[in-house]
Amino acid sequence: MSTIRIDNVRKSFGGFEVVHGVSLDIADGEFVILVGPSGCGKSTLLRMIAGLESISSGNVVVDDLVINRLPPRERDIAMVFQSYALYPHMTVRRNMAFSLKLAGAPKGDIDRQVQAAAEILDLVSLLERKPAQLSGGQRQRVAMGRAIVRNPKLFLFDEPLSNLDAKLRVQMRSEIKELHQRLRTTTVYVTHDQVEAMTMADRIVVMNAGRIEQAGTPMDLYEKPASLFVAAFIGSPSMNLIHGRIEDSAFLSDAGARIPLAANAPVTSDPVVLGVRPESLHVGGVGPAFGECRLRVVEPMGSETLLAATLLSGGDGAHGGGENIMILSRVKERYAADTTVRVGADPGEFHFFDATSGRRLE
Amino acid sequence: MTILRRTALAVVLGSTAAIAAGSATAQDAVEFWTMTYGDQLNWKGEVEALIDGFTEETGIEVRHEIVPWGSAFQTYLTVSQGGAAPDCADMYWLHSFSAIGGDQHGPMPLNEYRDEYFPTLEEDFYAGALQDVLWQDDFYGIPWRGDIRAFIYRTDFAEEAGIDGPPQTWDEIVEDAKALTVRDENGNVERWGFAYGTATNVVSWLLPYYWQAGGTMMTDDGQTATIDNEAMRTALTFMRDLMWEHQVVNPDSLEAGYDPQPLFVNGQLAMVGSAEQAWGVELDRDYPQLEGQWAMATSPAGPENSDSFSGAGYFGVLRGSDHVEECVQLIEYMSRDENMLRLAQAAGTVSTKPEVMASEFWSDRPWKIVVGEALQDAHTSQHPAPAWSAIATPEPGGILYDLMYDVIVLQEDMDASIAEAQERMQAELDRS
Amino acid sequence: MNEKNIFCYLMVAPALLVTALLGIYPMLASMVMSFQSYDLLAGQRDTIEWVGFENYRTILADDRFLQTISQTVIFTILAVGIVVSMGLFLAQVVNAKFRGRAVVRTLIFSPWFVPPVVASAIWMWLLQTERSPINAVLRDLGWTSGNIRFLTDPETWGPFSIPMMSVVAVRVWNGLPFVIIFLLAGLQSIPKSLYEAADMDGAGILQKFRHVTLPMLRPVLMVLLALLFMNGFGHFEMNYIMTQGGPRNLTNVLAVWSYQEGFAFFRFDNAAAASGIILAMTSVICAIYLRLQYKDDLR
Repeated sequence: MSTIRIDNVRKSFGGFEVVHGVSLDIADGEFVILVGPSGCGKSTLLRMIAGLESISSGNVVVDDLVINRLPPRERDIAMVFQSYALYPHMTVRRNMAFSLKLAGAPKGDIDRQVQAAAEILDLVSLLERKPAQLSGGQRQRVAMGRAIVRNPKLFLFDEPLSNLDAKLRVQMRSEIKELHQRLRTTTVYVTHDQVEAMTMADRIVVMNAGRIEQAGTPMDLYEKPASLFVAAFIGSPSMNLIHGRIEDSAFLSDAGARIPLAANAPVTSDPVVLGVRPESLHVGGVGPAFGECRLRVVEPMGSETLLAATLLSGGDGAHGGGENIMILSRVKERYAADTTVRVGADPGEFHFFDATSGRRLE
Repeated sequence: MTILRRTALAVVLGSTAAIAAGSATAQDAVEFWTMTYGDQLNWKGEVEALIDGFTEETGIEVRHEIVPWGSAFQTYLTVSQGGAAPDCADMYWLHSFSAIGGDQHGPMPLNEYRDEYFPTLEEDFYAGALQDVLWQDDFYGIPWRGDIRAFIYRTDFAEEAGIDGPPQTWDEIVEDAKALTVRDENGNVERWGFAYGTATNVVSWLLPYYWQAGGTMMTDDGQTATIDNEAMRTALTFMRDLMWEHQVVNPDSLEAGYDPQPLFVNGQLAMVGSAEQAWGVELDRDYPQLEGQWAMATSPAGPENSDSFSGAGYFGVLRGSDHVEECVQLIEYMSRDENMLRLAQAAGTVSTKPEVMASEFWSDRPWKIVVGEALQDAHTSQHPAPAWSAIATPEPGGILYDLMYDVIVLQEDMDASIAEAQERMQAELDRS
Repeated sequence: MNEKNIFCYLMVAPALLVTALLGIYPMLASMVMSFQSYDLLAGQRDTIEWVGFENYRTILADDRFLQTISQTVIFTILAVGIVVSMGLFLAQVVNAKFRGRAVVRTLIFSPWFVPPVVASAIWMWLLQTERSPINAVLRDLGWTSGNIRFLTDPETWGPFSIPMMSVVAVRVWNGLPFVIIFLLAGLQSIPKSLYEAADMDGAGILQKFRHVTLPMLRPVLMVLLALLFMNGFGHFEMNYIMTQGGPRNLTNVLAVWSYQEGFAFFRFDNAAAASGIILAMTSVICAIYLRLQYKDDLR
């Protein structure tokens, strides 16, 4: 059993506060990912859980035990570092066995546990090598092996895949996910890559400037982003955001385009931002009208095509536009730049945000 | 190509200019080197004033260079081995450097000039001082400075202890030293009654006692060592007993770094047996507050005599010089009474001519008068063997140093130690 | 050879020349001398002749010389061992962040600005039995009743003696800053994440030192030890100035012995032979170092 409760935790460096009163509950066995841009405080929060940074105020509670003052080794937590931090002068075996040896475990136990972890991670043939003789991916796995061997209550990952190339990253993502399904240890994982977050997490915590913007399942965040920040952050390519107002069941963009809305659209006279994902826009005649667009750049990606377009006029006919939008088409058609096309979208897939506060409007 | 050409040109021009400049100064001036005595600037000024007088009189140009004491030995060693040499210089250890230099380098005999320029040598100079310029019947120059060592003691402590006047014999030394040694309640010595000598050269402390016991270090021809005798036993026993039996001498005094002057000034040392006359100059100059609390005296008498240690430096000519005649003229000029007095005053050293020592300058302080008297009993420390400086070197491993250390400090078997020293010394004499 | 090459050679030439003239030539000449009979006092009379290893045999038969060799080794091992241990500790102190760090750093580095000769003179005064302030303080504190004869006490415990300890202490004092700087550079190149990983693995301070710091410092330590040993075997100033090799030969080291042999006794052939032995000893260190380097490269 290892539940974590982060209770109004703050962190200041000198007089400068970087984490502002963050609270979060993590259930036993959950795979939680902290995601956000550089400097949002996610790594700091992770390190506070690990015990590598002190907690300025607030509590971190693991299984009803407040661990603020405990040194790292007494927290029964294992961490995988971005740079792997393998001991360069020790073999893979000794790297993995190190913590057990320090704890004074009998040699037989150590060997058994190291062997088990090595089998899980496919490291058996590499046990006698030194880190310098391993590839990036192999080192990654050794770092994970070192963490697994300890059988801790909690795994912490600090951007472990950042140093790998794209292909390897994809492979390792699924390996980590598989590992978690197998071991079911509570995991907190930090990354700046939202694709990693979406694919691996049970729950995602989006952080920005030291605060939690939204915490929820990947689909929650995708379908119901709570703020402009989350909306723009989650989903790749990012959501199209158009500034304007709502008038008579239609959206009037600042540039003059008029787009018809559904009946349940929010009613407000304040400036709003309309959000629509590129994959919600369809080229051609399908669905209600969104507007006329001129295609500028066509990026075929094989299974999909990314189109950069300019909105010439809203579906309601009035001319306006000039806004740049992205369209993600899954239809196997060849598009040509500099052509004008009709674009449709289901108004039920529109998102609205208050232009000033950024908060979602229902 | 231009960079290369320009660089090469610069190098060539530069070095040519340097060589030209160098050789321009290597004119017909006589090269004359001396060490420094007392305040360096003052000394240089005095020497150059004397040289100016010489040039005025004879028209001969002389160039004076200072050789620092720290490198003096190395310098003359190099000279004696063929290194760059001056025409004439202020030198010492004639015997050693002559032997090293042989016929090629080093000090040059001036026999043919002796009668013409220095007809009255024996009358004008102290016999002891002349020993330092004569070697194997050859005459090498003029001794100009002496280093005579007398007895020095704290008159205030002596008065306190009820002692009137300095000790006159070895027995009195023992008696007085015991009265003057003071210990605290833990037995730590606060004041030592006696120290053998002031010089840093430890071996120079043994010589006076040995001589006073009637001994000589070697035969006159410098071939045979003569230290295995009664006199040596007497001297060593005296010194050893002072340290361990009467316990008036610091057992550490033979170690490196032993410096008696601050101890004497601070009242931690009462008497010194063989005191350099430079102490008189230094105490007058640096510790005027001690005026009246110390005095020098002639050496107390040993069983046979009261010989005092004396050393000398001399002006001589170097082999290979093209200006021998001019050098001899310079030396003759320097050896005149008034010039010798001037040198002695500037250097603070004792002069080698009785005439000079009788002057006003050498009688205006009580200790100077004592020094003058001590010159009567001077026994030169030079010995007619080139190996002498090696034998007498005051470093562990030196023959006489080891002898002193083994017998006096370690209290080893005296007969065995003396016999060994005699053997080693003879081997050294045989080397040359 | 094009112009650029010639220019480069010209620029390097002066330094090479100086090294060759002042370093290599004297060394070679000295080695040659060690195989000749070169007695200055007999030099004019006898010709200088080749005697092969005779000089080496002569000095190796001298008990005092053998004692000097063993003392040189003991001195060096002691001095190097102490200075590196203290250096490792102090380097961490200097590296850490705490208030007053600048003051502590200045204090630690100040001995570096003192040339060995000056250091010897200062310490000679501080350690002079009767006038030593250290003795005075010790007596005031009541810890000792007599004076400690730092430089002159002839008592020995095995190969050790108080004068030896005193000279070693001064050598350590003078050399500590250099060692600290070296080790500091090494320490600062150790990635912080290694220490954090060790923290997570449950390592305490000593264990972190043993399993992270020391292994990561290995290359720096190897260079440092090689340098210190080679310098240590040839060390001259402090032993000569402070004690001249005494008392009773207890602080004599090869360089001092060699100097005395040459310049006090005029036996340059023996002095050169002693220097030859120093050369042999430092070559051994060099060879060991190179071998370890080679093995490291293979790894």
